[in-house]
Amino acid sequence: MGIQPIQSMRISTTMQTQMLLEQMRVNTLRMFDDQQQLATGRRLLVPSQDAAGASRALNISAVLSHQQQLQRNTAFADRFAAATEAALTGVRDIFNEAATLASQNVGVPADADQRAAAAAVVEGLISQLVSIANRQHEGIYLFAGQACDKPPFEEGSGGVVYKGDANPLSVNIDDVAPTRISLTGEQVFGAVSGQIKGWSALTPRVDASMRLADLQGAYRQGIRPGQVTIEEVGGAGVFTVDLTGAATLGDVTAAINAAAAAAGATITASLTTNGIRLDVDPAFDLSVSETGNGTTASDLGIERPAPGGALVGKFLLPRLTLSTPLSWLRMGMGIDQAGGLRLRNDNQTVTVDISTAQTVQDVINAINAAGIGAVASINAMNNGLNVQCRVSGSSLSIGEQSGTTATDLGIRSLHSGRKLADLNNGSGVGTVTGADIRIVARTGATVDVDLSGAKTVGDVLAAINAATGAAGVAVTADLTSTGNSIELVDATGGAGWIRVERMNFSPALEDLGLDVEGSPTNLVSRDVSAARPEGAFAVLQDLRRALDASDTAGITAAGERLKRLQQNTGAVQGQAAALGRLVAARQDRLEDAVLTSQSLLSDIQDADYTEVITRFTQAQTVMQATLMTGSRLMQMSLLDFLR
Amino acid sequence: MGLVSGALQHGKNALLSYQSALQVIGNNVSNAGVDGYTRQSPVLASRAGVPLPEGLMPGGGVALTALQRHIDEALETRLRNAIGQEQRSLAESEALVRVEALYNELTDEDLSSMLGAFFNTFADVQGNPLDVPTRGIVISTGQALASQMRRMRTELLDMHDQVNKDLVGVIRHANQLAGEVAGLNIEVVRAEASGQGAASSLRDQRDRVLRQLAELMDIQTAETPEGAVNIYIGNEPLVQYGQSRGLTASQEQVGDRTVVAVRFTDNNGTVRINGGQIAGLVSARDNHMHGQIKALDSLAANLIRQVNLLHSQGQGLDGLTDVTGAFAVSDPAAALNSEAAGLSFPPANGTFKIAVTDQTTGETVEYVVPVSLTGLGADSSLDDVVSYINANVGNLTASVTSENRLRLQADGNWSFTFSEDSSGVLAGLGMNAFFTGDSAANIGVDADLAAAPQRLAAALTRAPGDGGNAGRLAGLATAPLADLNNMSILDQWHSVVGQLAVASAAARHSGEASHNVSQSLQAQREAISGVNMDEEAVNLMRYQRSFQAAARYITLVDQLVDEMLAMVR
Repeated sequence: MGIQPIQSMRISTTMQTQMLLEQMRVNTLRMFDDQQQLATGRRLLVPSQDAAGASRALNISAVLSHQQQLQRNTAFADRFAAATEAALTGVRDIFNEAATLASQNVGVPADADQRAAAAAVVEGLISQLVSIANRQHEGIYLFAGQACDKPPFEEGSGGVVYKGDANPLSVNIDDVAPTRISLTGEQVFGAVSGQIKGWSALTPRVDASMRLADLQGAYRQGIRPGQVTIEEVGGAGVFTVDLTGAATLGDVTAAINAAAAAAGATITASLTTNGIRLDVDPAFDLSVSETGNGTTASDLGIERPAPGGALVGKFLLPRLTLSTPLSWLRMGMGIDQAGGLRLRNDNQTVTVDISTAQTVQDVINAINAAGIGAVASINAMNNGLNVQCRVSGSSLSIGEQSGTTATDLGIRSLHSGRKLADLNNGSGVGTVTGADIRIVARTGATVDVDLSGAKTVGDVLAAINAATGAAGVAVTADLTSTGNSIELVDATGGAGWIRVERMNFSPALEDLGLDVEGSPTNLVSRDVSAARPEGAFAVLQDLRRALDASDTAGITAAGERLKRLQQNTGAVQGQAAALGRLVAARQDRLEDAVLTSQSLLSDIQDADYTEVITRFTQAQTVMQATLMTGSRLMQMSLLDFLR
Repeated sequence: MGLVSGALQHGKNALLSYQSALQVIGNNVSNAGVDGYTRQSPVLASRAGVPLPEGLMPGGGVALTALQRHIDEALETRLRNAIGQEQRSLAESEALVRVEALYNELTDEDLSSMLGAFFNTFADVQGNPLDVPTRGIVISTGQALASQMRRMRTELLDMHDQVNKDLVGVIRHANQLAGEVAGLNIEVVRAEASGQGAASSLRDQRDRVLRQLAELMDIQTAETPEGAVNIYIGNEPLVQYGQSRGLTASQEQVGDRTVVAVRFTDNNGTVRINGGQIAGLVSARDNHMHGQIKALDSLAANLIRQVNLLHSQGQGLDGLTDVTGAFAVSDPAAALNSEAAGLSFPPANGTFKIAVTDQTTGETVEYVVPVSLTGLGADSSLDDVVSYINANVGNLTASVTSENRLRLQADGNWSFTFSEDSSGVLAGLGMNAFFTGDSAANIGVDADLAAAPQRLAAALTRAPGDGGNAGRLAGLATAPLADLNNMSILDQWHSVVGQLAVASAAARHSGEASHNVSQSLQAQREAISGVNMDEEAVNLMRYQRSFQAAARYITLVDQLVDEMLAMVR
C-alpha cells in the first residue's frame, strides 16, 4: 500500500491533518509488516500476501513432507537390510563350521566316536540355525516373508517346518514400486524347494458370473472396460454398447443384448465355454469394432467383422482363482472329486477327501489341513496348482486314492509325463548301454528292456510294453490306480511270480523302485517320485544322521550339498548387500532432494533479512520525516501574527 | 439626503456588513475541525445609492447580499459511491482475513500439514505393518484431522452466523439513517421556503447522514427543486421527501442455512444492494464463509469416500467377527445406487470378495459377492446382498439392522475379511470403514476401528507383514483421482487455499484502490469545501481592516458634523 499523491489547488486545514494521519497510518503499517517479517523470519505469513507463491509453497511443502516420509522408510529399510546382513553372516558361519566338520570326519583319522561327537555339534548347529532363522528386527521376523508376526521355523515332526510366506516384505522408498527389503526362508534356507508343480492346465470355462478381472483377455492384457461399436450390416445399423460399468461377463452379454434390443437389432450375445458369441439374423451381417481408441472389443476377443451370422469370440483365458468352482475347471470338464488324494510324507500317508469341495479354495484347504507339511497354492500363471513341502528333512508325494483326482488336478507326483531326471529327489534314473532290466514272467519267459532312450515315466512304460509286446509275453506296465507306483501285471498264466532283474549292473532297477517283491501276478514299484526340500535344515540333518551312523559316503554327499548351500548363501548375501547399497544410494539422493525442496520453500516463504532490514530502516526514516514535517506544518499559522 | 443621513448610513451599512462577514469567517474558523463542514464565504456587494447633488451616483455603500456555500454536488455523489465501494471491499477483506486466520495455512499446524501427516502415517504402517502402536498413530492422526475439520467447519459456521448478526445491526443503522434523511428533508425545505437562503448547516448535516448511509449501501440521490433529497436503491425509492419506506432485517431460510436479508418495511419487497458494507457482508457470508463450508464439506466427503474405498478392501491383523455398516440405506429393498436407497456414496456395478477364516486352523474360504447395478433388470438392493451372502457364504450371517444398516456376523471361532471391491459397496455401506460421516460436520474415525487399531486394513493379501493397502492409502495423498478431475486430495485442498488467497488478496487490493479513490475525492472535496485557517486569517484581517475603515469613516463624518454644528454657535 502506498500513499497516492493528491493533486489539489487548495489545501484545507482538515486535509492537512487527514493527509498526515494517512501518511502515518501507511508508514506504521509498513513498519509493522517489516517488523513481523523480522520477528518470524517469514516473508509469507498468510497465503493472500502472495497467492501464487503460497500455492507453490503448499505444493513444495507437500512434496517435502513426502520426501521426509520416504527418508523414514529408507532409514527403516537400511536398518532392516543391516539386520539381514548380520543374520546372513551368522548363517554362513554355521555352514562353514558344518562343512569343516564334514571334511574333518570323512577321512581315516576320524572314528565312530568322533563322528558321534561331531553329530552332537551338528545338532547344536541346527538349533543355532533355527534361532538365526527366527531372528527378529523391530518385532519383525526377518525371514518369514509377510507372515512375519510368528516365528517362521519350527523344529519338530521329523524336521524343521517352514511356516513363513513366499512374499517378501516391501517398503516404498522411491515411489516407483515397493522395494523388497526382506529375504524369505525359501530364498535363504531353501525351506520349500521341494515342490510338486502342477503339470496340467486347469483353465476354467467362462461363466456369466465370472469377474472381468479374472479374465486374462484375448490378448493377455486383461479386460479394459469401455465402449464397443456393433454394426448390424443391412439391418439396424451401428449402435454403441457402453461396457464401462460391466463387472462380470454376464454384465457384458446383458449390456450387448439390451443395447441391441434398444437399437432394434436382431443381435444376441451369449457365452461359449471359452468366450463370447454373437448371433444375428442370417439375413444380416455382423461387425464389431472399437469405439474411438478403446481396446474393449479386442480384449473381449470380438473385434472383427462376421459376415453371415455368428461371431465366435476368441478364448478369454480365465484365471484360476480361489473361488473358482471345481465344476468349471478344465474348460468345464471338472475333476474327479470322488477318488480323493493320497499324500505321503516319508512313512506317513494321509488320504484327502475332496468329495464335498465346491471351489479350488476348498481343495487347497483340504490339502493344507492334511497336517504333513504340504502347502497347496495357485501357480503364478494362474492356471494350475502347486503343492510345496514345508518340512525340511522329509519328502512329499501325491498319488491317487482310488480315482483320477490327482491326475485331473495335475498334481500326481508320478505321471506319464514326469521326467525321469526328476525322480529320486532329482538324482534321476541311471541307465547303461544295452538292456537295463529283465522282466521274468510267471511262465519264466524273460523280456529284456533297454531304457536308455527313455526320458519320462511314460517312455519307460512304453518301452516295457513294447518289449513285452514284441516278445509276445503277456505282461503289461502301467501306473497304479492308487498311490504313485509303476505296476507290472502278468497275464501269462504261469505258476511262478513275476519279478524284475538287474541287467548290465544298471541302477535303473532301484531307481525305478522295481526292486521289490509283489504278488504272483502283480509287481508294484516303490514310490520314487517324492519331492524333498533340498534346504539347509535337510542337509544339516542328513549330515547329522550320516555322522551318527558313521556313514562316510553320506558325510561326503552332505559335504557336497553344503558347498552348494554356501554358494547360495554367498549369492543371497550379495542380494542383501545390493539392497543395502540401493538403500544407501537412495538415502543420498533423498537427502539432496530434501535439501532442494527446503531451499525452494525458503526462497518463497522466508524473509530476506538484508532486504527487510533495509526496507525497515527506510520506512523508519520516512516516518521520522513525516512526523517532523507534519508537526512543523501544524505549528505554522497566520493566526499567530494576528494582533 | 445629506451628509448626516447619507454618509452615516454608508458607514453604518459597512460596519454591519463587515461585522456579519467577520461572523461568517468566525463560523468557518470554529467549524474548521468539523468533518464534512462546507465552508461559506460572505458575498459583499455595493448598494445602489441616492444621486449626489451633482447628479452623480457613487453608490449606497456595501451590503452582505448572500452567503456562498462552497460545494460540488456531483463530487459529493462520486465521493459517496467511492466510500460505498471502499466499505464493501473492506467488509469482504475483513471476513477473508478472518477465514485465512482460521485456516492458518503455511504453518505447521494447518490442515494441509495434517492431511500430509495423516497420509504419511499410512506410509509408516506400510513399512512396519506389525507394529500396533504405529497403527494407533494412524488412528489418532485421523481423529485429529477429523476434529480439526469439524472445528474449522464449526468456526466457519460461527463466522457465518456472526455476519448475520452484524447485518441485523447494520440494516437497523441504515434504516435509522434513512429516517434521519427524511426528517432533515422536511427541515431543509421548511427553512429554505421561509426565504432565509440555503440552510447550510442543515444541508451539511444531511450530507453527513447521506455519506454514512452510502457507507452501508449503494444509494442514488436526486435533489428536488424545493431542496429535498430523494434516495433510490437501484430503481426503487427509499426516501421520498419526508417519507422513508424503512428497511427491515428479515431472517430467511436458504437451503439448509438461515440468512439475514434486507427488505423494505412497507411492502416487504426485496432490496437489491450491490455496494457498501451490507453488500460486502452478504458477499463475505455467501461467497466466502458459506463457500468455504462447502469446500470443506467437499474435501471431507472426498477424504471419507476415497479412504474408505481403499480401507474397506484391505485386511487388518485380526479378522472381523461382527461388523455393522456405518451408513444406513433409506430403503433396504431399493437398488443400492438409487435415490430411494439414499446412500451418500452410492456404489456402482461390480463385485467384492469376502474371505471367511476358521480361526483355529487358519483355513480360509473366499467368496465373490456380486453387486449388480447395470440398470438392466434386477439391480441389487441391500436385501439382495444380504440374501446372497446368507445363501452362498458359509459360516457368516448377514442381516439388515433396524436402522437399515448391513450387519455381518461370523459364526463362533470364525472371522472374515473383505477384498477386491470393484463396486464400492463396502465403502458405500461403511463396512470396515476408516472414516464415518459424509461431510466436515460429522467426519470421524470409525469407533470400532479406533478401539482396535490392529483392525486397520494395511494388508491386501491377508498376510500380517503385508502393508500393500497402507501403501495405497499413503499414495492417496498425491494420487490423481478421476472423481476430482485428476486432482489429488491434497491438490483439492491446496486449490481451496489458493483460491481463498487470491480472493483475499483481490479484496484487499480492491479495498486499497477504492480507498485511494475516496482519498483523492475527499481531497478534491476538501479543496472546494474545506476550511483553510490561513485563508480565514487573511479574510479575518481583510474584514477587520474594512470594519476599522468604516468605523474611521463614521468618526470622520461625526467630526464633520461637529464642525458644522460649531458654525451655528
